[in-house]
Amino acid sequence: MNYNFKSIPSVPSAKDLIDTVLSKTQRKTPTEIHPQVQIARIRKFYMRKVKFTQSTIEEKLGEILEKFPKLDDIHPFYADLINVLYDKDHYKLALGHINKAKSLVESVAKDYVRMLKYADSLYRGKTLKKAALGRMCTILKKLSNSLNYLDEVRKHLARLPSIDPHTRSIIITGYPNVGKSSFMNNVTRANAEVQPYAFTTKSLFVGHTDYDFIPWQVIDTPGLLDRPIEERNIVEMQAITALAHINACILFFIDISEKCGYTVPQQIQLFESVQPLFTNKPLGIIITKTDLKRWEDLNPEYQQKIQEIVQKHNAFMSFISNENKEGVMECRNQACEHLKSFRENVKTKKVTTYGRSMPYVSVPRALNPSRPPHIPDSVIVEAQTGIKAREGPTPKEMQELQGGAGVFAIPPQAHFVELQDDDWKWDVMPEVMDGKNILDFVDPDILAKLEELEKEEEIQEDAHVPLDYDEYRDIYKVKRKIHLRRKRIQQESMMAKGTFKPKRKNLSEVEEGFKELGIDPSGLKDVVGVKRRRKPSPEIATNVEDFMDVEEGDGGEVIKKKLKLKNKALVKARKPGAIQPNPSRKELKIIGDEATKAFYDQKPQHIKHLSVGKRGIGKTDRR
Amino acid sequence: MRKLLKAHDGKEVNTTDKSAVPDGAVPGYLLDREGSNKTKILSNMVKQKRKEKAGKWAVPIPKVKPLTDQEMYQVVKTGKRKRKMWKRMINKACFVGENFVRKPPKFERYIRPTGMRFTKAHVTHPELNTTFYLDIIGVKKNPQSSLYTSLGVITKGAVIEVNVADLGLVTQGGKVVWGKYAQVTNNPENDGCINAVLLV
Repeated sequence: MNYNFKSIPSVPSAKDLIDTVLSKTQRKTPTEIHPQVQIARIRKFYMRKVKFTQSTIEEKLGEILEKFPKLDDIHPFYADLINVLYDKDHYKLALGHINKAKSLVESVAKDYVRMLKYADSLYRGKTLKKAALGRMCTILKKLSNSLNYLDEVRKHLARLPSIDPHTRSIIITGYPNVGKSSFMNNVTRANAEVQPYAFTTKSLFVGHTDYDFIPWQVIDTPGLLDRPIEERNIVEMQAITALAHINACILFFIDISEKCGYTVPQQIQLFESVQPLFTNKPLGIIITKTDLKRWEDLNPEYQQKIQEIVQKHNAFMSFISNENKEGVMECRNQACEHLKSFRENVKTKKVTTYGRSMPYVSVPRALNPSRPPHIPDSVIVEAQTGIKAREGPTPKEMQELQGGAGVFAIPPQAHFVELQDDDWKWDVMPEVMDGKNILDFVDPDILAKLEELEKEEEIQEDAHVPLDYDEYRDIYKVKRKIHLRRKRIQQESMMAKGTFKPKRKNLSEVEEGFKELGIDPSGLKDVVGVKRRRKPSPEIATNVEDFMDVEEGDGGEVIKKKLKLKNKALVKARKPGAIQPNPSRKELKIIGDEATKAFYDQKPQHIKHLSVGKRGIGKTDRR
Repeated sequence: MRKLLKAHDGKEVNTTDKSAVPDGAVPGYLLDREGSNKTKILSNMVKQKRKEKAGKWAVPIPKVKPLTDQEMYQVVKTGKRKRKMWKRMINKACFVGENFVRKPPKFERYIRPTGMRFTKAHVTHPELNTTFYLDIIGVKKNPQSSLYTSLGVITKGAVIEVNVADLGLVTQGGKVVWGKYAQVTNNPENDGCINAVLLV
């Protein structure tokens, strides 16, 4: 995969995007329509405009989404570099914002196309189209910040050096100002800026050099300071990402002349702190500026320390002077050789380790390893003493006697043990009874269990003494009292709340209540007797005039007659088998709005002719 | 009751202004006509009540342009010969309750297409000068006709009930208000959205 971010097209600003989209719609869709033409054509005209705008926007936004690298898909070196430079969260948020806008535009277009289907005039179509395009443009306008950010990112990405994280590469690192960039300038055709102050190099630089007829990538990193990773700035973090993710030969530069402003022990300290990044990578300790101070002139203590490091990390050591180009090429050659052998080693190792790492499952040892065969005691005794423990032949011997295996099988009954009577063994027994397997119900302890149950029952019966009538009555009375009291409390509280609805009572119930209060209920019957009857019988119907206070006069007679008639009708209607009158339409009508009104009889009046009467041959939708 | 009727009847005022009567001879048919004042005086109470009633329904858009049936709906022809014209398709934005179930399509008189159904409205609070995107609870009144009110048709000037639970409005008693009326200020069928002003 080629990591060349130069091919990302420029991201337009929100304003430009809106302009291009709208003008494209104007250019690529028909522009003339008249109110006289068919309404269907008008609708189509505007729907086309809305759909076209939507697809243009989708195309534009989709292109942005597609061209920008996805952090999860690219090499971790680049993912980390992007995180360091542009902040991963911000980057993802911006792309997510654009993706969301894309779907929003889609839903807006869908809604408005749906509404356009019901447009009944040119004016309505036009206004709907205008609203739709307006809303889409508003969505784009809100993208403005994300688009600007992405354009900045794009510009920066294009300027990043095209580092291939997979090829042979050499990374140069060390304190600032130790001669890293000068070394790269000497070794490669790159022309990195070299200045006598710290942090001249603020980003990664790449140069290429040829050794052994193949190109090698040399990566120059900004200088590192010795401090914890949280405190490192963006410039340093770029170096760290390169060191962490690229499998390369690492050249750690140590300036023994101390002209860079850092002492040798400080530089050694830095090496120690970043050293975890160098594990499993070929390493070289490069002593620079030997023209200013020779290795022999260095404090022997430091010399020893550096030597120790070299030995510990299996590194090579090289002495260079960028000033007079002494030892530069040798250093490069050494580094390349080192990396080459390392890479070959890794390749061969991969093959060999693969063979060794074939899946191999170790068999767990049994917890109890000794499992001797089980020999019954009787057999041991028999073997020792020669006395047979049991009488008669064993089943095995019997089998041999009867003709051996295959001819004679030992009957399963022979294995039955501990029956009360040994003769029962040979009883004929069905295997299945009433569709159930008998052996499922066999329980050797069933009799014992039955006995236990019976005993328990007996104990319970002994404990129970039946109550006599008086006791029953007393209990009943108390119970009744409790019930009545509870009911009264309930009613009182309901009355207090105002939710009490007196229940209709039978006359007998009321009488009983009166009796309890000590009032003579005999007069009650005369007072309420007639009125409380629910179903008027024919005799009572004639009595109506007795209790109805009907005014005497011309009208009175008529009313009486009507009442009589009505009562008669009621009586007739309530007789079993009497025909019930059909409910009127008024009764069937349900209160509700026009749309929810139910057609209970399923025979709407305005299309009655469709559903009433006999069906003719082949006539299903009319009669 | 009698008193009430009397109050609404007003007082018959029949006064004559002597000064208005011209001096001199007057033809018979003009006698007693001039200067006479014949009106009804309504009691102050009735006047006040009428005023209050008018004030109660003061809305941002007091008058709406009446819509003809033709603008309101489209007649759908049915039947084998396309002769029947009793079906109507509403052409305006509608609010249809959540638990609405269609009648069998054959018997459905008023069709409210799903494309024109709305459930949310942009409601502006006139005092806060902010707009919220609120759920519609129902259509309280459509000034065009009571039929449209019951069908839930939303046109310009219609009063809708919106769910203001999110606004955190509180009554004087301290209860949270969740339903409030709002008047629609735009033509939803033209704009594809409902804009309304909260009636506070």
